Amino acid sequence: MLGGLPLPAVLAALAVAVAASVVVSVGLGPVSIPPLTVARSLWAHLTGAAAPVDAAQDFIVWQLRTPRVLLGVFVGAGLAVAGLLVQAMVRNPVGDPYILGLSSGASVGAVLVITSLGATAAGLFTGPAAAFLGAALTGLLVFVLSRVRGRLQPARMVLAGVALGQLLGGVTSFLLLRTRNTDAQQQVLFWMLGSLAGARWDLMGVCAVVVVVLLVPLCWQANRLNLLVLGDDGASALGTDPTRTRAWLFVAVGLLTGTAVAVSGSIGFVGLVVPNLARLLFGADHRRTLPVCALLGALVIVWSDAAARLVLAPSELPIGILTAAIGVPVFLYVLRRSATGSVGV
Amino acid sequence: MNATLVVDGVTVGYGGTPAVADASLTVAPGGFLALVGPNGSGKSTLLKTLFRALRPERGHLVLGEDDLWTIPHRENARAVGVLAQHASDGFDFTAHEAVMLGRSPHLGTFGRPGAGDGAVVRRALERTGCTGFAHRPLSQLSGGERQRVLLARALAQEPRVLVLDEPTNHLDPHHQLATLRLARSLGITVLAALHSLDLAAQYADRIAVLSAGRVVAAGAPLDVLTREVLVTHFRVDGSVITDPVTGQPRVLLRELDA
Repeated sequence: MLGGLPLPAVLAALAVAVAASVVVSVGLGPVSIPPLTVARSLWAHLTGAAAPVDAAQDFIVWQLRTPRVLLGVFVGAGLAVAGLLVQAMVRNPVGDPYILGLSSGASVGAVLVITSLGATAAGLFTGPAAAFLGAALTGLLVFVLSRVRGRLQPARMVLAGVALGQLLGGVTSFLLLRTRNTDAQQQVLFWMLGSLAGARWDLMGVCAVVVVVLLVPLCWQANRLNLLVLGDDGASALGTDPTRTRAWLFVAVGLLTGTAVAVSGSIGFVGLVVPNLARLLFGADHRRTLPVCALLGALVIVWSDAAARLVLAPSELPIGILTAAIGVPVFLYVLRRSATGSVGV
Repeated sequence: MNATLVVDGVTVGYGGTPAVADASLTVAPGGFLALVGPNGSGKSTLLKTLFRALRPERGHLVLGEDDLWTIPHRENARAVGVLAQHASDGFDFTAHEAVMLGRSPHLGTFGRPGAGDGAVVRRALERTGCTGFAHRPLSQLSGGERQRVLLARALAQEPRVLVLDEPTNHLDPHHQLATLRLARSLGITVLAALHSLDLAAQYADRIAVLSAGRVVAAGAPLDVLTREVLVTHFRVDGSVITDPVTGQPRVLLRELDA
């Protein structure tokens, strides 16, 4: 639909939209703060000048909401890009980062910590660390299981991931049913639907570093994704070793998904819907789709999280419900509108 | 630019019994060798070793001075242009995008094509008659149009040798002849797997017959396409005649015992 627009203009427009969304979204909540005040407070912190706004408002902006909104930016970008990478790896537009079983592994890690240490202890670094470890171990197992005679086969990757995911899902349900701690049950349920409520500056920082450090080389190497979707023979013929490329992508997907899930739970739909949205709007070339995907993912999560905080304020909804409620109608609208392009199987 | 392609004692398979055993072929610089053989004789498998899709268990593939399996993978993709069978379209690229992918092995660190790449792609689209639908998605093209896009992509690689696996699949008669004529007119070395013995006889200067994974005959079309070869390896009867108009050899086939 918009494939003809020059990429730098598209990216600049999306980046401005993300920045504006961050400022507006930080102002939203039980205490509403005008965007201009938010901007002044943020500017003061970034430049090291004294904040020209009231100390309570400044605390809400800088300590409570900014880390959360920025975490949303990086989680959204990370999950959307991870989804795009998985779709290229398995050459199928219905791929999703969770298809490799990573979120189920993370859930087991998180549930183990929450049910054994209790809900409060898990809020610290242990919860995210256990979730990341669960995702990483699952990823490693799927990787080993999908290797046949030195080749990584996409179909085996999906089957191994889905099968392990089911097994680990069973483990999670078992642990959840066994615990008598209803607080822990509540927290696990919330975690499984995804939430940015646990955001802190340090977690946000880790997530930002992982996402940015991976995105830069991925953007350079995006043409390899184009070759990968041509199939193994096509990729080989055009100078890219498909198995090595898939192995590197697997590591990137594991790190992006593991990190995102560790800090925010399993937020659904973003990894599936945003890459398809990006392709429908801007075409199949990954050199365009990849950066677009990162920025669209950030936008979707920032606004879903804002809605999660506002819809039932003062109580919060899990963000997974909102990404479904916002992301899916937008996606279906674009799907219907773009009657010319095919979805690209 | 021109280089001799030597397939030297190549054995290759998918684990278990090799699909191709001890195959040796030579294609002279600028020559056109047609690889013919019945279904499952190992034509595609042998071609895959040339573009690094399948590593030979034994033997070497040498283009000019280069052993194709020891040079860097990207260099191999600059040397060997490929039109393969059962190619996937990817996530619905346009014809132009698909052909631009042929420039991949020539792109620099950041993978962005420049003006020179654009010119090569335009020329490849022109030569294959794809300019008219360059900006349509592959999913909206006919089988024959897609096949021509794949040929354009192979040309966009600016290779030293062109490897074609059933290049005339899906093509109408005009484009079958045009494709083979184009391949021959490029002046680069061509190795093409063909099903049509008649087309092979008209366009190739040498023919090699692959049967059950072994090269059983190789040489000039008239020398190779004997009645005995047709009966033994293709299970058809036939005769090779001279085209009254062009003077080229033509192959007429009939059922055995007809």
